[in-house]
Amino acid sequence: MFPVLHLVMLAVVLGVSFITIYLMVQERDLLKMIVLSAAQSTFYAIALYILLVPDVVLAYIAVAVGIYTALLMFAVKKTERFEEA
Amino acid sequence: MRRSKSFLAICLITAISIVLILAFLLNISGLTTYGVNELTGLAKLFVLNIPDPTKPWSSHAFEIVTAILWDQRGLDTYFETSVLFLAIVASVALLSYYGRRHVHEGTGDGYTTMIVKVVTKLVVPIIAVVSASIAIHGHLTPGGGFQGGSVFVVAPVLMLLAYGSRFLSSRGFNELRLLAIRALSVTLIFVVGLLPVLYLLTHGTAYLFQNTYKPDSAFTYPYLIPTPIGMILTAGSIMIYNILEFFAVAAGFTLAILLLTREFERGDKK
Amino acid sequence: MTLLDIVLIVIGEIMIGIGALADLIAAIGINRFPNFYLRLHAATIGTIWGAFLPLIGAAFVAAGCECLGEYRWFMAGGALITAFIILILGPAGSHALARGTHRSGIVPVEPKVVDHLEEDESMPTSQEKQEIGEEGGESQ
Repeated sequence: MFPVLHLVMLAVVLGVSFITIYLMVQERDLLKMIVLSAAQSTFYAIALYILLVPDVVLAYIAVAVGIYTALLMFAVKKTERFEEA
Repeated sequence: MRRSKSFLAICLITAISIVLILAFLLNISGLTTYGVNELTGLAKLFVLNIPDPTKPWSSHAFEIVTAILWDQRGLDTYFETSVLFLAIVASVALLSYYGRRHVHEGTGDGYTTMIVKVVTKLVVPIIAVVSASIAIHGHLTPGGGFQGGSVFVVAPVLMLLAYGSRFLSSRGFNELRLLAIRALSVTLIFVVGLLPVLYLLTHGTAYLFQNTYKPDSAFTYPYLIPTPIGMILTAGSIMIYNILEFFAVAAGFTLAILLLTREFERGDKK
Repeated sequence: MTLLDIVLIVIGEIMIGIGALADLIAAIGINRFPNFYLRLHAATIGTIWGAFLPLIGAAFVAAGCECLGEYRWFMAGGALITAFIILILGPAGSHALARGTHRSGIVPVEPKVVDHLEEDESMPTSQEKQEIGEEGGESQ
């Protein structure tokens, strides 16, 4: 058996998350960075689901998209919004 | 700082082609488990022994990941839970305001509309029920205590964003109570793990964090409980651990988020 | 396979087709619209017509497919519940997003014909007046 479809889906998802990471590193606005980080976590969760680890997906998507994003938002609110050049 | 569009396009194409090449190399070399129909090594041991009730080392649980977490390496998971507990205690020590008056405890009501509040009220019970089912069915379906607890925390986050921290505090979610639930759950996990050792002192061989009977030890938690509606599979102590861990994680994360939101609502006034 | 099953499957497939078309339209709209709020409108088309409707269609297809056995009812129920949750969450999320963006003033409303929300916010409501009074009292 050669499930090419799974591999192609995995490649697309990881490629999009790679692009998101590139945009995230280049971004100066920290709030936009947080939103991009949440998007990247979503793609990673899909990739983990394709790799057949639903246990990790359940913890990962709640922590990375919900709690982690909220914590970073609070941190940005308390400090600077724009990264200095 | 704006790069040219062609540069971005080249970057994207390179990224996609790198990922594609890596994926197909992995598949051709056979490093991924795709196409491999035989179990090897440790996986064979776990998959063949844990769900099978006739084997002597069985955990009587169908979900192998949770069974390994709480049975085969239960002590390890207990210390993970206590590390998280220490982190929560540290954040409480940094952020808590005991002994000080809450001057700006957050009015909260000012920045959301009726639509958001009503939808939050509809969604929060759904999240709570789903998280409880993830935790309680942790030994049957993918999930477990930590997963259920961290899914549950999304509900308080939504409530805090929609209603403000004063609403949750007035509904009984205060710091002291959450910390008490957290500490009680962690302690009870350790007590449940310690019970086999008490058995060891009086009767015979038993192991720390032991779940069901082993070939050289008769100690066992009840793993099949008869009820009027049929047999209930609890997988020994795994279900107890899952429920306690659910309360521990949910209370701990809720406490951290609650304190941070209160700090957030105080604004920049020093 | 009875006639009812075939009808269910065809209706479901038509719904999924409409969803794909709506997603394409939403993507074009997100790329072409000039304004944040208009782009949000296009994205909401992608949520309701492009996610809610195909999920209902998937529920129909699952209910009509005998090859799935008893499990088709589980799949249909799961799809219906997911569709319901998307139906209540999508509009509320885009509403909160639009309101938050407008209040923080990050994005200028441009091109603009009329902006009633701005006119409403320029005059404080009675509740806000009360809050301002309270805060002023506390700081002294």
